Amino acid sequence: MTATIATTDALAVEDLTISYGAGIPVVTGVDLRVGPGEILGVIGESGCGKSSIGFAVLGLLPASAVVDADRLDVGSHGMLEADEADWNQVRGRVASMVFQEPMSALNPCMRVGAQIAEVLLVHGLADKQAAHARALELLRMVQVPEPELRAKQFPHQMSGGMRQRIVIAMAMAANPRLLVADEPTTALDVTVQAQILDLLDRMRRETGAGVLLISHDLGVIAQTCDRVVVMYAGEIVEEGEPAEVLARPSHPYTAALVASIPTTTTPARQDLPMIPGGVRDADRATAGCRFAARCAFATERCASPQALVEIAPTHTARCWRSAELDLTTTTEATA
Amino acid sequence: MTLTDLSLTPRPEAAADPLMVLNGIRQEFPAAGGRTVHALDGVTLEVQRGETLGIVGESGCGKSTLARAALLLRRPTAGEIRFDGKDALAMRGGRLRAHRRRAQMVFQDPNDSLDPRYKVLRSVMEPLLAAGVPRGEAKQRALAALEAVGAPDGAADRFPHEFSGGQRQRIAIARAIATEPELVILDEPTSALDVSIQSQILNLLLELQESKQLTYMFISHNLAVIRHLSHRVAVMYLGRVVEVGPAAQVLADPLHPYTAALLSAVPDPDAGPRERIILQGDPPSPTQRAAGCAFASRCWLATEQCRTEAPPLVHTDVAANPTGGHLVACHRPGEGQEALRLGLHPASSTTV
Repeated sequence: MTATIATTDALAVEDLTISYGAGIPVVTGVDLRVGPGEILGVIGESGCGKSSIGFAVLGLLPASAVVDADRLDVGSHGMLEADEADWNQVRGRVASMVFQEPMSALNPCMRVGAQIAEVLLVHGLADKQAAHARALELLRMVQVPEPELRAKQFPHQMSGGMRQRIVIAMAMAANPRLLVADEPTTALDVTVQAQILDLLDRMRRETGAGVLLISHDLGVIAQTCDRVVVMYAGEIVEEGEPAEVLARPSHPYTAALVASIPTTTTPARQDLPMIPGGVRDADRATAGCRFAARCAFATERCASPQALVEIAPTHTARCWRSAELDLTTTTEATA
Repeated sequence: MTLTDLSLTPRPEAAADPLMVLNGIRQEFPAAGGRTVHALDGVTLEVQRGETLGIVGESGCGKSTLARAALLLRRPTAGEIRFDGKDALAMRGGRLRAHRRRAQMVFQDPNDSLDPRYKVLRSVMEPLLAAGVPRGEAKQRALAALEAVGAPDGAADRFPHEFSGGQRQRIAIARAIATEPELVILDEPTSALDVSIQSQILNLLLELQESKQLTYMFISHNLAVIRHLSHRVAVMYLGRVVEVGPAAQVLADPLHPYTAALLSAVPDPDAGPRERIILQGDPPSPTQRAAGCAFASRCWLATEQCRTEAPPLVHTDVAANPTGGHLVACHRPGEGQEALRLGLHPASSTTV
């Protein structure tokens, strides 16, 4: 760890709600905290709101989105009342983003060295010469071989893994406090994915940036994150350390999600446990448990509102029955 | 997963009479500058009746090209395809149409096989009509296929866009099984789906294989899914098969260093701290055909022999069962996994 590491959180969000017009909110009551150098994983299936959170903390949601929160601190910047000019000061400098598709984050007509340098020039953090020197330094940091040569190349001359390294170099250019990575390895092969996850891990250790890692891949989350939040239908249903949450889930949705994925220990060629049905609009609007309609353990009590309750000092779950259900055994028995 | 698990063993009578034999398949494409892309560099595989042959490898390894060649969607540059003992590449006209009925495909994106302007029934009937089935009978069989895959009631009269991704993939599967094929090639059928939907589709595929005696060639980059479905697994790298054998053996005791690296790279939520091989660099361009082993440029075990002499795909004494059909193309078989086990790999790192 270097001396540049700040003591303030990289991200602090309280009671975040995101909605579009008068529609049902896509995210409700989300609290998140990413410490310096910490990787917080956000996991969930399509439509659970995980990407909306990533966009919201960078002020990237479309104008039609209504963001409401008690607190939205990015680094030391309170962004609750921020306008576009404020966000422009923060984006790329205090917080930056790595997307799933590196090609859509890169300008196809611009040499990659210049694209990295542009981040520093736009924020007035360096003159042209210093920015280019820093670009080469960043290319070395993300382990791009032959940085002088690569800096002069265009994105199309590179492989997918190399492009994602360039995007990470751009994101890290201004030494941000927070890196939001939305499915950063989903478009990559597994051997390249391993390289990129390794790189993210090294970056946060070396720079002290906190990482919000959004993924649908339980394996990626388990391998990379310090803490994980599980999202379902727009709210957090469980939070804790990945090893704990995935091995001893306390919410039936987490347990069902873990069980439905074939792994090295799943008996081959036998039925996988399924989660019946899908998320309906009515589930998002209910005051009670949003998973109840699909839950094997639902009771009448599940219709009433419930908070995230502590299971262990670093583990919370939003389920009335978490204390009485042994979901570890359930997962193994049905797997 | 144990070797004694009967469901992992292909039907024994099948071995002598494979459903499909691919022999020395080469697929070349012209590339810029007069170069040639060697997408398939001499692939030889057998597909046994009733089995699932998993094909695993990373993007650009040729697995989808192999699927298209096997179904004659694109004729290979060289090689031989025998289907049920007959030379498939020699088929033309009516015989070819009759053959197509017997071998079908499911794509990653269901929209690739469903016309957005057609109602579902028409898309599912299409292969039947192409095979010469009379319209009335085709309709009955299409409806039966939709029912077999668990499509929602009334699906036949609706348009693809009215369905979720998972339901659309069910419909694409209905289209593939409508002609009652013997072979279904599945190219990443669950890669675009959420994990809870993926398990529904995997369960459906297992159920259909049992009830309709289907043979699957299952292509995926997802080793966990391959492991779950396959009796046998073939690992491809840069247009070549580097390892093939019973799934339990290949995935538990890989003999090729690439397979070992691939397996160790997969983040597994169940696995505790473990050694992991992080391969350096990317696969070389398929325009540069390697004289030796295709993996030599990234292999930490590579010797001069590996760089100059292509290893044949053969049985080795290193395999748990040296005559059990576990083949590997490597001059130093088994050493990669052994090094990983002993923690001797220089580029490995322990992760949680």
